[in-house]
Amino acid sequence: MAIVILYGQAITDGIAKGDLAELQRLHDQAEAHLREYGDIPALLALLKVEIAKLERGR
Amino acid sequence: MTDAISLDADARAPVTPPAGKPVRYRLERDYTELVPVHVVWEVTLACNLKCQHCGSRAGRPRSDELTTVEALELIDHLAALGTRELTLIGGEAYLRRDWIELIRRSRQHGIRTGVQTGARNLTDKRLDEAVEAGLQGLGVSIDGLPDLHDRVRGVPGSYDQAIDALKRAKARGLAVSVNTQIGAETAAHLPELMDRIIAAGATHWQIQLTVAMGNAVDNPQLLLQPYQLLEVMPLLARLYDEGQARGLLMVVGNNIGYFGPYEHIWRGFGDEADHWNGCSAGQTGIGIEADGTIKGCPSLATSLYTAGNVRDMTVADIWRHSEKMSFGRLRDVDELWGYCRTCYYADVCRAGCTWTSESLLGKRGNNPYCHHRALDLARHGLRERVVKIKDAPPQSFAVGEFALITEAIPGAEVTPLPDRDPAAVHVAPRQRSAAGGALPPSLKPCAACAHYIWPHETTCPHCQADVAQAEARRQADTERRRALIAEATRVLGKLGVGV
Repeated sequence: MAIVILYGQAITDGIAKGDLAELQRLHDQAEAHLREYGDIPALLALLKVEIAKLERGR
Repeated sequence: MTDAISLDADARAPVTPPAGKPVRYRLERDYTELVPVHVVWEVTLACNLKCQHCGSRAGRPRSDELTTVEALELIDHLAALGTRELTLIGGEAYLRRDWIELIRRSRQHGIRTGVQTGARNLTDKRLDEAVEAGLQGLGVSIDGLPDLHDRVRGVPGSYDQAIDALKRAKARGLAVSVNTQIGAETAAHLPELMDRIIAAGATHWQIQLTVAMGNAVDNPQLLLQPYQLLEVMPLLARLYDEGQARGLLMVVGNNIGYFGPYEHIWRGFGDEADHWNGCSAGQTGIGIEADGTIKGCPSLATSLYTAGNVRDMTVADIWRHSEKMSFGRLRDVDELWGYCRTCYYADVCRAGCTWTSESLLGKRGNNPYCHHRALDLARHGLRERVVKIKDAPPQSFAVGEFALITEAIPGAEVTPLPDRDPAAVHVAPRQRSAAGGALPPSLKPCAACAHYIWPHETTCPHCQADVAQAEARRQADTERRRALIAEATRVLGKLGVGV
């Protein structure tokens, strides 16, 4: 219904919700994963290029 | 995390707010059954700071503050009324000898309990005792970077003590937050202050405007001018987004608003269904002064809004029957005046924060501290500022009087505001419950411009969009976003990320 904020201690048990917060959370998780394990799609693309180069040279 | 409320068998049924919502979140039944969800209690007027903006002119304790027995009994009565959160303030709450006993009793009732403090001489011993008694949250008041904070708070070194207290409270597992009052000089400090409080461990940051009450009337140079909202509000919106991405949730106080371009962003922490719906004084909140004086809001002027004293009658009787408590339940748009009387949002807003407007102009119902209003005036080349014309008496929570001046924005072309018919203001029907409460109206944001509109609108009065078409486009956008969220969650889950 509503959040009411009197002059007193701030709410400390509320969390941001909604699509924006969720998209940001997922974005951060995906970036953290890439930092730790590397970018597999980019790696795959590079592997394909190098394979193609070698195959052309045969 | 939310606390389930446990009450005696003969009291109200337990209440657990929806997932992600704080215990302070108001449910429909809180309005209809008149539940004082959040109580803010000045447990003593004793204080060790000398704040230039202190509305209660704290310093010495009141001569007749409640005894321990009276105070503990009051907590029992609040629990029986269904109170879910209690904030102890002062003065400085821990200068009251029995403050630990009050925390312990409140927690025994399952009431979420926090303390708001200036943190001067908040020693490790005091913190440890409070934590042991069950204290859950500590809010520290910080009004700017060191020079400004120490000057406003009247004690050199108070900024350093405040930051240190945040860190020590965090280390003890307390939920730590910061309250910042915005005055004429504060805005420039906010970005760096946000960095510093994040570093100190704060997770929530309450922002409110300094109000013309008590010491602030003696120091009117501290007050933000209403037209300065044009700069402050975009800054707050930017900091809200930046803070959210860094683990700090900005909580805008009741005197920040109303219904401008950012209302949908911050009032519901991402839930656009939540919006400002009027002063809650005497509807879902109670303020208590240290001598047992009861008001509908802790900040209201004592001389105007004392609803009773617990030494004369029970808090339940004051809450249910006092006229000074029920004004917010009964008022309507006819008591509004000035710009607010003919505003599009008149019936849902009710001129914003009663404390702010009445303290300033001597009569509630017209509030120049409004972003929607400042923007409207600016479109006509106008702005508002306030000038003190009468000092406040020396008492706690005393008010003076300010003149409201409408003037041309320097260099701007002035066009007159249109004549708006008071009779044309939309009034939403309210059905009053047997207890005397009523639900406030609900608006929704226009899907095209995000400004809130009344449910009956077919064309947005702000951007002229076709409401139904814009809503259909928004639904499609929402479905696409939700599908992406589901797919990202699935993929990341397969990878063992974030599960």
